[in-house]
Amino acid sequence: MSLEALKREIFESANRRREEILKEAREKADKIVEEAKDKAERIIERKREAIIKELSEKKKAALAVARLEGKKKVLETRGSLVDKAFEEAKKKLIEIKDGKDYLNILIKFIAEAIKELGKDEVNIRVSSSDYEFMKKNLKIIEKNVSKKIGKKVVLNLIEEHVNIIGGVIVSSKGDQIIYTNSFDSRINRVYDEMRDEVIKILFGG
Amino acid sequence: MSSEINKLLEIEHEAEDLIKKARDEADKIIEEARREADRIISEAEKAEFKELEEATEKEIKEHIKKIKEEYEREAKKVYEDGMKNLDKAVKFIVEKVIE
Repeated sequence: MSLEALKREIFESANRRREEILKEAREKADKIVEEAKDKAERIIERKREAIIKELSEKKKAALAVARLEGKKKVLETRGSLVDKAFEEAKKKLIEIKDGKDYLNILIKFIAEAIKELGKDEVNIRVSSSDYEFMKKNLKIIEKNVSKKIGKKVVLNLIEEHVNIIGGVIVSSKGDQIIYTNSFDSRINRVYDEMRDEVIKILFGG
Repeated sequence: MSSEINKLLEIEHEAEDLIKKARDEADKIIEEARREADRIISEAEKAEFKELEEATEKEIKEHIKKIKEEYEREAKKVYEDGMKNLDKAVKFIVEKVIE
């Protein structure tokens, strides 16, 4: 073989090897990029899933808060109307004090208290607005209370006024035992024991 | 003869050089691919979902608005029903207080 032919042979072989090396490199490079793309897709998908989960939880929490606030508003509306009913009832009770039935109500309240206390002589305390009325009618009340409970009782009207809207505070002669039979205490009792019935009247159900 | 051997050695050296350059080029190709792969992954890690977030925020706002309206309607009805029956409830309370 001539030197020229040998030279051609060597270069052809070197070029073939060169092409192989570059082909392998390009294939390896393509594989690296493709794998990176696959990995990137997985990363993006994982992030998307995490964000969807986070947003879904955020939505769930926000809607739960909105529902709670809504329910609170409805309950507050109910509560304010119940309170309004009791406030209006207090006003009616104050009006009743100016009517003819108030005397009978006081007789009933005092008789009830005396029965509870089990005493024949008691002290009576009323509000400043009721004092003169009570003083004026004390004998009539005493007579009617005695009649109502079936025995003679003595009522001592105490000048010291109490802070109630109406009704009486009855105590034993020495004030050892006290029975509060005021409008205030009775309205509180109705509030505690019959609030559900008031709610039924107001809202039905 | 000796000059021919030298010539041959020179040719072989040139051929080896050609292959060496090809290897260097191949290394560069792979290195470039690795940089590209890093860039692709880094981009993916920085990916944001603003549209998805904004769409969900909008959806939440709309849903909350509906819930508010629903309970406001309910509260209004409760108030109206209550006001209709207020006198009846007041009468009941007064009766229970004085009875």
